[in-house]
Amino acid sequence: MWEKLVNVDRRVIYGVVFLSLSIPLIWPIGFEVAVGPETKQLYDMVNNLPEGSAVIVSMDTSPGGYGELSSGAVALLNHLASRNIRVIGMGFFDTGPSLLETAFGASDFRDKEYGVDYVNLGYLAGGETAMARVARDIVGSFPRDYRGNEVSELPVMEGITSCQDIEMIISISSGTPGVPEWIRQVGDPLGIPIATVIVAVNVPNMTPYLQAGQIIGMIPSMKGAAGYESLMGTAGLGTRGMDAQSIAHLTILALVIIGNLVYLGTKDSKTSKGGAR
Amino acid sequence: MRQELPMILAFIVGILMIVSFFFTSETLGEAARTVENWGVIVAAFALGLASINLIQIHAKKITRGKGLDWLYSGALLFSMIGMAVLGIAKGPTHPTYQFWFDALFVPGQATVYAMTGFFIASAAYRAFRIRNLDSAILLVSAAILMLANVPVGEKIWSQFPAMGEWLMNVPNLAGQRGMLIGAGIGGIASGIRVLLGIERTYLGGSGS
Repeated sequence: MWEKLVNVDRRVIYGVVFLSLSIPLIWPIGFEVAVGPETKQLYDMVNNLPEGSAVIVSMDTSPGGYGELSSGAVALLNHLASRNIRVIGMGFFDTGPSLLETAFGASDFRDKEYGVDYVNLGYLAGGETAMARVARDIVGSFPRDYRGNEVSELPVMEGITSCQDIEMIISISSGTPGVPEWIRQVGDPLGIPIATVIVAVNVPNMTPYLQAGQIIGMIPSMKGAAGYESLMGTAGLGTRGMDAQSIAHLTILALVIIGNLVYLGTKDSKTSKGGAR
Repeated sequence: MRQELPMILAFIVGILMIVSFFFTSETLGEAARTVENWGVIVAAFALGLASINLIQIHAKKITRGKGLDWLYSGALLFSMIGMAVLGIAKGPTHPTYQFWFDALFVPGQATVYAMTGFFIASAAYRAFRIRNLDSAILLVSAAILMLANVPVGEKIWSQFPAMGEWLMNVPNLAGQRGMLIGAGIGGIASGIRVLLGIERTYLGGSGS
C-alpha cells in the first residue's frame, strides 16, 4: 500500500487540488472573513482623504500577478470612486497601463469621466530612476497620457505638478520596481503615505516597512481583498475566492500529512527489512 | 581612457544624485532631473535593443531551429510584431488591442502563474517531510500560517490567526529586518566602490 501511495501519479494530486479550488467557487460556503489591521488602516486612510484630493495608483505588476491582485485593486478603486478621490494612474511595468485600463473598466470608475475624475498616464521605462523622476515632476515625466491627451490640459491634473501634491501613493505590486522603490524615492524623502495591494508571497517582505510606518496600509492578496470588501459591505471576487483558498489550504495540508505518513510507513518497512536506519 | 572616462562620469553623476537627495537647491534639483531624464531615455533604448535582440534570436530559430522550435518562435514573433503594429497604428487603448491583451495575454500569463499552485501541492506531498528538528519547525510554521491566512483556520481553532500574526511579526520580522539592513549596508558599500572606481564590472571588464 505504501508503495502505491509513494508513486501516486502527480495528475491525481493536480485533480484533487483542482476540485478543492473549483467546487467552493461554484458552490460558495460563505466563510466569514476577518479584517486585518493593515487593511483596516488603509480603509480608514481612504475614508479620511479630503474629497477631490488626488492619489497615485501605480500598477506595478504583470498579468501573472494581476490575477491575484485584481479583487483588491477593484475593491480599492471602488472605494476611491465612492469618495470622489481623483486617481492618477501610471505603471512601471510595461504591462501596467493596459492592466490599469482593465481595472478601471472593472471598477466604478467606468461610470466616472476620464480626464476629470481619473487618468491613465501610461508606462515610464527606467524602474526606480523613473520613479525618482516622477517624484520631482509628474507632468514633465508624462507629457501625454496613455490615450494620447496632453496631460497638462486635463482637469484631473489641476494643481498637481510633483508627488508633493499627492495625498497618497498606492502600489498594486507583485515585484520590482514596487513598494520598496516607492518608499525610497517618494515615501521617505517627501513624506508621502505609501499603501499597497500586494501578492501573498511578498507579504512577509513588507512587514518591516509596515511596522516602521513606511507603509500606512496594505491589502494582502485575496485575503486582504475579502477584508476590504467586507468593510465596504460588498461581496466580490475576494470574498468568493476565500472559500476556495480555505479548502485548497486544507487539501494541501492533508496532502502534506499523508505524505509524511507515507514517509514514516516506508521508512519503517525498510527498517524492518534491514534497510535504511 | 576607455576605463577612466566612464569612471569619472559615474563619480560625477553619483555624487550629484547623492547631494541632490540630501540638499534642497534649484540648480542641484534641475541637474538631477536632467540625469534622471537620461536614465529614462537609456532604459527606453534598452527596451528597443532587447526587442531587436529577441527578433534576431527567434528569426534564427525559425530558419535553423530543431523540432518544433520554428513554430514556438514564429508564434512569439507573430504575437510580438502583431501587437506592436496594432498598438502603433491604432493606439494601445483601441478596443481590438485591449481585447487581445485581456482575452489572450492576461489569462495566459495568469494561468502559468496559477499552475505553480499545483506544482507546490505535488512537491509538498512528495518532499515536505519531517526528517529532523529544522524541517519539523518549518512544517509546523507553514501549517500554522496556512491556517491563519484563511477563514476556515479560525473556525478550526480561534488561536490560529494570533499564532500566525506572532510568526509574521516576531521571527519573520526579525529575519526580514536583518536581511534588509544587510542588503542596505551591502548596497552602500557597493555604491562607494563604484564611485571610487574600485568596482569596475559595469565597464564590461572582469572586475576590480
